[in-house]
Amino acid sequence: MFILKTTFHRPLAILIGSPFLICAIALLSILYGTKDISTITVWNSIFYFDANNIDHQIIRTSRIPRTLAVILVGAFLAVAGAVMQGITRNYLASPSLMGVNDGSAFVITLAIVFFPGLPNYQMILLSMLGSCIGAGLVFGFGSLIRNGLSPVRLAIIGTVIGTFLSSIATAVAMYYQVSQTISSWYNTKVHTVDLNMLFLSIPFGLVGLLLAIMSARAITISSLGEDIAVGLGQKTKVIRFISMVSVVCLTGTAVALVGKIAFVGLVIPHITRFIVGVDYRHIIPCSLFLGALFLSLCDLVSRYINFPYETPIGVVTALIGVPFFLFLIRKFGGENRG
Amino acid sequence: MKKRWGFGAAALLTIALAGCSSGEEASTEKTEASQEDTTTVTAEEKAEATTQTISYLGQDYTVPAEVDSIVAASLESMEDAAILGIKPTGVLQVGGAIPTYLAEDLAGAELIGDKREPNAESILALGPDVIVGTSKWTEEVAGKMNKIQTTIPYSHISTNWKENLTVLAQLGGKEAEAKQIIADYEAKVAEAQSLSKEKLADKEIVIIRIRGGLMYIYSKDTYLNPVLYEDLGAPVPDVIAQAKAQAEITLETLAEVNPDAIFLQFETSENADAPKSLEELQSNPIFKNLTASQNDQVFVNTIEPLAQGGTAWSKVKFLDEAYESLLK
Repeated sequence: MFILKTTFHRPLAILIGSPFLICAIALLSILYGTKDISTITVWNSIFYFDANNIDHQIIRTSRIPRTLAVILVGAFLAVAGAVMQGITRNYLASPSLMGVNDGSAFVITLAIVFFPGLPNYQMILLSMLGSCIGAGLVFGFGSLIRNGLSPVRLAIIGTVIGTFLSSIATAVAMYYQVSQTISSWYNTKVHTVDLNMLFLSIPFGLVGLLLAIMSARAITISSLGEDIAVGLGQKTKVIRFISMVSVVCLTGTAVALVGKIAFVGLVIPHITRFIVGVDYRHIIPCSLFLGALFLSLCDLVSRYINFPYETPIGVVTALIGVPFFLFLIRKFGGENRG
Repeated sequence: MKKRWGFGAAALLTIALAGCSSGEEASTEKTEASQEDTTTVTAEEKAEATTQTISYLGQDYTVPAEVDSIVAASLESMEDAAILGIKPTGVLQVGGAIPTYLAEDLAGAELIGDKREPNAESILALGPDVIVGTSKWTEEVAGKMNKIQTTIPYSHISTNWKENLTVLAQLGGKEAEAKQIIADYEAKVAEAQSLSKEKLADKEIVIIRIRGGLMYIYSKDTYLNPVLYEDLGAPVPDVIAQAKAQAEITLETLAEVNPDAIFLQFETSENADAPKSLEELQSNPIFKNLTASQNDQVFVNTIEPLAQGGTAWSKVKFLDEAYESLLK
């Protein structure tokens, strides 16, 4: 990819090339896992399914949902991160900064304490509701304070409100002695993805993706700064609102599906920016594919680091993502691409 | 802010310690060792038998000759106190009360807080002669407990269960009971092994604990595993042999192992976020197609799911149950 000289061809190369790579990795993740299953059995499990065959069941109820889930979650998180970084003009922005994760944890804690045993899909909705409350509070305060939506102030407000929500959640969890349980709800559990849950959450995620892609142009303008955006006739408040809805949909779905996964939302948009430049019409779709590619690769690797036990995928994303990120900073950092 | 708390706590501790140590002197002076427990206990002549030295796993601990008040600050020591019939003055709480499965045996004990870091103040208030803690504690917690009173780091390694039981029995004056429990257990093991040699020789058996909706296995020396692999002599499956302490096992890995029998331990309070995970697992198509499930060899909660596994209490009960399930 680095051979291509002009910034225009790089996004095209990513958009054309990564789907093939994603398919290849997906194929590998379905074919290889901790249990040795032959290719022909995999084929049969799809076309001549036998409910009493344990290998068929593994392919159908474990490997395929899991493969789909990591592709989707990787794409969701990367796009959410890209949108946040663009709209807040803050390259450290990620869902955790804007009260989105803390809000979700807050509501989930209350739900586990006061309404134990809720079905999973209700937990997804609650997790999204929590993300909305978190993001709503942060942006609400930001709008009330003069110049509160500037990158630095927003980061401060986000941190303060996030800390506040998470300390209430911790206090409630401690008092009712459920703290261990709540942390386990957020543990990444890629391998327990439920096919029904997956289908249930796809619409929310797609809405988020669509909103993000549609507002890509506006986000590019926002990323130039509030004054320029207003000068160009952009309705900044509307754009902020739309992009927040998109972020909440994307992260809420991702968290609900597989739990918290670090680094994808932060690192992938950066990597994408290094490769394709600062135009969010390129960054958002390319982040989508690179995120999906990255997370499915991590998932594949996670099965083999500590065979036959699986390594939490969050550990793998950090292990692969951080060194690559540092390499990119070293190589391209001087170019001030952002 | 943090610093101030630290100073405050330190000050409180010093004051409390001063009060405690003077009270202890007074009590040890007026009591003489009434019980003759001298098997491995050597009375200290200098102190006119007001203290005794107890050796446990290569370490010596000095405790009063007559121990009146034991604080059981680990679930392991609480289980063993229950089986020995010792009444500790203080015990840990789980969800604000004595764990239900031990509530009857330990009734009357004061609550001293959480297993990771018990409340020093509550323990001080009880003025214990000895604290029986756990080897799982961090140095910081262990140090704090040792400042209050001699603290025995009760081993969480299952293979030390006899030493654990013996030292607790020495403290509580129940040595005869401890010997009886160990003798009975060994008799049962001898009986089981003659049967298991042929019945379990080619069987793969695993014990799985469901926590937070996920399945965990343990290394062969921890949890209930020694009962299965040492005492009953079942062969150790590779997946267990490779595990270090607690390891998560996925359904796919479990399918790869495809054990002949599975013991599932499921405690609701450890699965508050996934209270239905046991039913979900049992109705999962992969799980249903395992050899163990097909042959009705999945045993759910054969013993109390909160049981620690490495204690006399857990081992005695699990041996009985596993014997029933596997060898009859």
